[in-house]
Amino acid sequence: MRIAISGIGIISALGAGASRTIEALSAARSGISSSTAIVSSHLELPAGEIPLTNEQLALKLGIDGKRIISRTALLGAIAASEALDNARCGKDRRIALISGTSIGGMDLTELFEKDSGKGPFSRLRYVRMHDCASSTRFIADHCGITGYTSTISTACSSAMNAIIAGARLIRHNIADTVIAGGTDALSLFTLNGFNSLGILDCNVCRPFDRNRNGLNLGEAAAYLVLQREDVLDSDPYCYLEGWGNANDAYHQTASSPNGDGAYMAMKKALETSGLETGRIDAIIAHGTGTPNNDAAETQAFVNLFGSNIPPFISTKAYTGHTLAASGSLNAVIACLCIKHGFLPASLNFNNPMDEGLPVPQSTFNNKIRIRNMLTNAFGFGGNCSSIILSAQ
Amino acid sequence: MIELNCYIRGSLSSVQASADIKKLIPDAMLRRRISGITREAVSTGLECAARAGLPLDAIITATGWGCLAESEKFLNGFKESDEMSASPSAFMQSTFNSVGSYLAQVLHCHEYNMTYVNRGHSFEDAVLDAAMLIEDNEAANVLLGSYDELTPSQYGIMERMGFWRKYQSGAGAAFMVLSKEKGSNCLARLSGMEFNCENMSEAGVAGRFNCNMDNGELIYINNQMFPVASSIGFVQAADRISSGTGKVVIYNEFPGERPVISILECI
Repeated sequence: MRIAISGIGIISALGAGASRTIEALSAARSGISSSTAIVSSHLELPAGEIPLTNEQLALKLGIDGKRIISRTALLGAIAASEALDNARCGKDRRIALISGTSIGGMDLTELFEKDSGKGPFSRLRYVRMHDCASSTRFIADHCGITGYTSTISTACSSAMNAIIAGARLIRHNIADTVIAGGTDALSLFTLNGFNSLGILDCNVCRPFDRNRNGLNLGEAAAYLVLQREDVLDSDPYCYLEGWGNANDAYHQTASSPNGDGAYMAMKKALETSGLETGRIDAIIAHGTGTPNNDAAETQAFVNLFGSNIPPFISTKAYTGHTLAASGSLNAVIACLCIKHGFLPASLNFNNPMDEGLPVPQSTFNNKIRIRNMLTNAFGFGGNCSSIILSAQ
Repeated sequence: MIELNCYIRGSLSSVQASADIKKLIPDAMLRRRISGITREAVSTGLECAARAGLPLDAIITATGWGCLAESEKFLNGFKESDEMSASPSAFMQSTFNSVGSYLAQVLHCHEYNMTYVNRGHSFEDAVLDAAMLIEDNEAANVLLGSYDELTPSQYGIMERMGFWRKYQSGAGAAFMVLSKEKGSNCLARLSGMEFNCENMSEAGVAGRFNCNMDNGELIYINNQMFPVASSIGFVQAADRISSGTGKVVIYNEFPGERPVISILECI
């Protein structure tokens, strides 16, 4: 039984929807701005911020802009409902929702004034959506999902793991249709958190470049509609053929030098798909732009593919690192690449890394036929996930 | 009802845990790094794994609210300093999958590692995932557990929300080892789960599943405002079955959510 991807929805710094995303990728246009305008931070760091206020996002959903709803939930509802509409799902489908998020409603919680009791931000509505599941619940209610819903939080691989969990739900006939993906809004919490770890670049990130100096944060929501092949309501983009999750078991926030977890996740994905390494036509890497991630990930490519590494790119210099959403963001872009036959340029690459490590594809290719595409998402806690999406 | 077939071969709640943390975590650096609920959950998980004595090939954790104390510490740190200082270690510890990843590090388990953060049903989601993984032959022995803490500020906020007039508070950690094979140390068999149930009374659940309530065949949870409650219920159920009860039905109705029912049977 094959699992098809029949719908996609995306909102990121590149814009809302698939066509804006394709436009920006084709034009090699980054959505990263020099500092945040909506999140009010003194750090003045570049970020892939979506240039819409919460009120504007709520209006997009047709709900009262004055309601206090976490940005994570608003973004998630926009992308998930787009994916569901895109798949044109029949009403009788047993639809489940699995959503990944790493901050949930922290964007509201960080405004909450716990001690004052009287200030404008002391009202309980600023903490009601704190927990991760509240964004999932909001998305489910907005999309009218009454089936199984769950929330996964494994840091930056959350959405990729939601896709893997969705595949399992279909395989076990708990649902025939699953909306799977993730959502994370920019927040002071993550800006200050990643800044404290010293892994943010104060310029736009340079994935896989010798002079790369860290990542930029971004915000996004991206969802895919997974359906059992025999219940499709529209032509699918591609098929989910392989998936794998492994743990680096090395360090809480750093990858092992050899990229053991990355290697194992990719190898497991190949095994579930039954494909040989030579059948992979392109890779959307995790490629954050930190010295550690990019060295470990490319070393894992060398260990898995030997000297025949397929063309690979990073999307992080377009959208910033969208944390929990990054895996499904890459998966949505992979669906577009497979359907329309293109591979975006990996931006800001100028100098190869040391020690003969492979280099990313740095020009736009609109003549590539992608039959099988591998995409990665790696998170804190050594959590490494890969999926393979295939045409036909 | 989703039919399942796997075996509980170890279960332990943090209240029952007794092992010396120095033996569980020989790395002194790591011992110093973890505190609070992370320490409680990691040590309970490690002791549960050690007691079961099985080679583990997946770790699945569940938490409703995550490591709240570390989240608060980090949040207050950068807010009070106007973003001038922030604690990287609190930020790292605040990540929802930190317990699962510490368990992987100590147990050198490179396999499947997942964290469900889905309010009062986080643990049931983890159990379902483990059971499916086992059925798919992707794992033979899964360590799974749930943990949640209750911080003073959270308690205060939930008091303002009026929860403590209706519901009990709580905190803690509970772990199980779920396996494909019965082995010699099996406590109970997991035979089914049902999600998105209708709300039912105690008598209603007992009637539907033919539970003998005098024999402790029903664990009915409907007024406990802490997400770890059902995992503690699983540990109790496994204990009851291993000491003679025929089956135990766990009904978990977390406030505001649709109930989940899980059925454990003797082997």
